[in-house]
Amino acid sequence: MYEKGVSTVLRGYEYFKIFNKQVFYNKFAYIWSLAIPIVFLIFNSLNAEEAMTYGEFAYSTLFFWSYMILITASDGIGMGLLIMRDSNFLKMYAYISGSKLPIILGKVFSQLFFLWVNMVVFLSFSAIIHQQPILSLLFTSVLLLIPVALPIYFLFVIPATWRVRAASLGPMLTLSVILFVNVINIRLDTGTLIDYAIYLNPATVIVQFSEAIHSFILQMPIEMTWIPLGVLILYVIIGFSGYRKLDIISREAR
Amino acid sequence: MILKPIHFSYKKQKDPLLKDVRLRLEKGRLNVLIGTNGAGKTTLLDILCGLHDVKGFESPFPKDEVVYQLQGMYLPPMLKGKDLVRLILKTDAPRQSFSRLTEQFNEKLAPKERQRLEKLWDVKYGDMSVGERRWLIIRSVTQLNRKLYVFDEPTAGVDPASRPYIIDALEQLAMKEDVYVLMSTHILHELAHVKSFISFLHEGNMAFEGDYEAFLKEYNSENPDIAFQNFLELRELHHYQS
Repeated sequence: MYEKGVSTVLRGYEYFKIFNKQVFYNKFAYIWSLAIPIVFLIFNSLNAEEAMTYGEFAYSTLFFWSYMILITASDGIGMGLLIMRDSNFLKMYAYISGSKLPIILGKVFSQLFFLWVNMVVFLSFSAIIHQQPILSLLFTSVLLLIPVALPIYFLFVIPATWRVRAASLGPMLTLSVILFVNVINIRLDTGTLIDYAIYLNPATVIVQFSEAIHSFILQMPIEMTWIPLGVLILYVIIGFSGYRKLDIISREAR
Repeated sequence: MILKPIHFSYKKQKDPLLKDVRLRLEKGRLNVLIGTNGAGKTTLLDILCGLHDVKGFESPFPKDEVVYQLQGMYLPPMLKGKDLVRLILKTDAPRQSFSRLTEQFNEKLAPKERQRLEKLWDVKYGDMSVGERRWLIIRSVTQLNRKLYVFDEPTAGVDPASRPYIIDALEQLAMKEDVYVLMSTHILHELAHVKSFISFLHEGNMAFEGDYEAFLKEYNSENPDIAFQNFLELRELHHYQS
């Protein structure tokens, strides 16, 4: 008989190991999440006329990290789950491990680990180029994984619940990420509720909350409204409802 | 065991795919579901595994007592044979050590199969043949303790030399006490030396039920493919006449 009552975490750990092998082996994943940010970093530093202050360096790092969080969420979680559904992986393994939960947990934590490794490599590279210390940002990278990256990953469970094929969704998700990151500095100043529309952009939420974590580590006054926190909690709630709706039946394969 | 009637149609589909189909499952035999492409075999398997909600039908097998092996499933090519075996065995029994599970696995294999497993242990999934991949997954799945084992075209795309290994594994599994093994297939010759119970799904109904010999006798041929064609021709004739 199927072994009941055993922690889902142990099963999730098996998937975590498998997905780690998959994601670290896949060279293409590094292009999106690491190579592209490094290329932009180099271009920016070549164009810079003056050396960066620590504050500018920290903001620039958080900006690139917001892109890295979103692209790994889009590629690894949204697309990753969709591909697993369409290739029948979810269907077969949900029966072997009793439910889809260990598979999703394994996937999410493997992507978090991959993201963290990429963030640290990027930070080290950036610190060498800009001759800046990395310790406080290194701590920030660890501390933002659970309160910031995890809710974003939950949010990206939603595209995997749509009845679309992975090939159709991929470019749309990538373009959305690029759009989010490009409008990160837009501020609305109408003095009305419309100003809060910037929080519809997950990249803004990531940067604002990460800045707060970084300020906390530096023991500086935290300039943060409760809105980014509320939005992150909302992402978790949306993600849970998405998880419940996530179908394991493929739309492509049988 | 005869299941309750299953009536099912997909959204936007005019005619029902399954019209009050009653699936019969036998213990101690390999239950085989056959039919033309699009007859609804995979849908019927899905329903049996509880993947579709069907009014008036509830699968007698709770989801945690079922294992469902699918055809053409993608797996990361860099995974080695041992990773695959570990994934299947450890996610089923996470508290047991992998070395103990492997030992138990090996004990149940025939000497030839043991050699095969040893050979595939460190081979990457992407470097295995279709037959080797299928054998390894199916042989690992047969180690799990469940009440219902479902295999969707387990031998599709597998070479004739590898097919007997898979069919043997399924037949052995069917011999276990208190389990049901159900597979779908288009390769009827492989059933010649197997203790099987065939269910022929056609146009939403169960058109034939019985063993391999009875199927050949009923449709006047010693060749199961010709018997299959004869069945279809007979059906067409009935259509014309009615």
